[in-house]
Amino acid sequence: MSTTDAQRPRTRREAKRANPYGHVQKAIDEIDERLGVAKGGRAFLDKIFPDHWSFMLGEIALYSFVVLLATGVFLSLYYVPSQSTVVYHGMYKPLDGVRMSEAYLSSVNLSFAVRSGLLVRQMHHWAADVFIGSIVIHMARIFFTGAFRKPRETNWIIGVTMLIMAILNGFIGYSLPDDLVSGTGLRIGYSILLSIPFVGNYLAVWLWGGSFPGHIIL
Amino acid sequence: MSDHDGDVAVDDGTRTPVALPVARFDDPHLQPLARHPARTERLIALTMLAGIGGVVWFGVAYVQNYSSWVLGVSLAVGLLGLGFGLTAWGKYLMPQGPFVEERHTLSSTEEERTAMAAAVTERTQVVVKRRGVLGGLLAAGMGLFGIVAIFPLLRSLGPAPGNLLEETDWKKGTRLVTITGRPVHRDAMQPGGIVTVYPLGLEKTDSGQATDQTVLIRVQDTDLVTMKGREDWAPDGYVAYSKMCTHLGCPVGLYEQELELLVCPCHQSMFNVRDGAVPQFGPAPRPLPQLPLKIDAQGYLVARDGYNQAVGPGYWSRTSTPRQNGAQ
Repeated sequence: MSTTDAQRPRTRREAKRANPYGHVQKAIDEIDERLGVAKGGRAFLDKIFPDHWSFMLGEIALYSFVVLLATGVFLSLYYVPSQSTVVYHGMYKPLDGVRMSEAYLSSVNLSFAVRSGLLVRQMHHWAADVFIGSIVIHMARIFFTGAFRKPRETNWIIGVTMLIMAILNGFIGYSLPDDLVSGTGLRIGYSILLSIPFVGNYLAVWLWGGSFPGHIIL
Repeated sequence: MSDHDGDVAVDDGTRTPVALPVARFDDPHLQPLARHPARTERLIALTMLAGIGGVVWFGVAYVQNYSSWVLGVSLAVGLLGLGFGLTAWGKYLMPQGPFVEERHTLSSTEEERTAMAAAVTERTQVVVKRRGVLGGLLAAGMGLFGIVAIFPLLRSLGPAPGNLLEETDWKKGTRLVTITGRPVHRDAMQPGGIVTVYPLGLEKTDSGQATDQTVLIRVQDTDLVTMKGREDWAPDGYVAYSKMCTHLGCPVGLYEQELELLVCPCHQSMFNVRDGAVPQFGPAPRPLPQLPLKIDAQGYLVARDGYNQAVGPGYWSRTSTPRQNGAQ
């Protein structure tokens, strides 16, 4: 981009030929001088993505994760992570006067009282299901096409780790509403932890803060 | 940048140059897949307009506080409309390709790797090995720190379980009550009946509902002996078992009255009520512990003693032999 006086453009047309990308070029120059992103950025934008449908499974996982994050933030603004007992006097009349945990009360309120709360809960629920399902199918694609082999072993291990974390996170999300299935799930999780040789009873009692149901798990 | 007149193929050293020709309209790779692009574009525009309509509808529905399904349908119309539009745009109107990009190798050049190996070897020999004592001291210090850090970390996790898992709140003479706190009289149940009972006063507590929950069943014959050594544990045909499945701790709340089987809803373990709740089917590894019962002077059911073993699922340090606890 060195322009001497002799080459200085005289007409608009010449200016355009000297710098055909105008403001975009200017903005990219400014950014690249600070962050050095032009090289990688171009490679990223130019990347040719395989046309086969099975390469979209990872995208499904990615976008369901985005949905999970967005809806999860919304839900976390209304959810109350407390096991203390309260009495329900909300919009859903059949439950009026019933003693329940604050966590469950906030879940009921999310479904009945918070505007669009039920929709967001359902989106979160289904996105979580699709998330884990698509990861599993995506990993199966990688496994059966041999895409885990050298030099991509690290990617594979990271992928398996992320699948395990996704399952654990799914379990945690399942447990939060403190409804009947949450309780059963937590009970089973506690018992599985309990079954670990040597340290199981320590881990279970520490994580739950006493024997099941404890008072700190939510 | 100055000679942008030719191909835009760029070789920045990390990627194989991609032959992306400057747009030539006769290049079949750059033609859209659609046979009538203008018509397709109109269709896609309609789809996207429907999507926009859906999004607006969602906004209105939210502000007007319509019911959940309206919110869901409007959002679905909105996002699906835009999404189908975008997909169709990419599939039918964008250059159809195929385009080729060679795989680039991840590894560095031979020279860079040699230089790295040289750096590792020489630095180690010259800089680190010369001061072996310091290196050893540093390693010893960090190692010791790692060991002593375990103690506060462990303590922060909470008290050890002790025999928290071995014992329940059932003691000798504890009265059996239902969830409403009502004691169970010897005439309260018909044969074939089942009720969940708790220790008196604990029916509303977490530990009462989780650990102490017990199923009380009345069978036809009044002299039921479920096992040798349990001759007087089931007075008047009343027999009580821990409600916690020995598999994973689910409440064994289903009673198959005809076959006198307790069934766990989680994994379908079945326990024979008559034979000391020995598992007949399913993954449960042990019988449900039996609560010895007797009938007190007022005719109410009380525990003859506590459970003689840990209730619920197993764990490593679980005592496998039943405690002798004077129930006989």
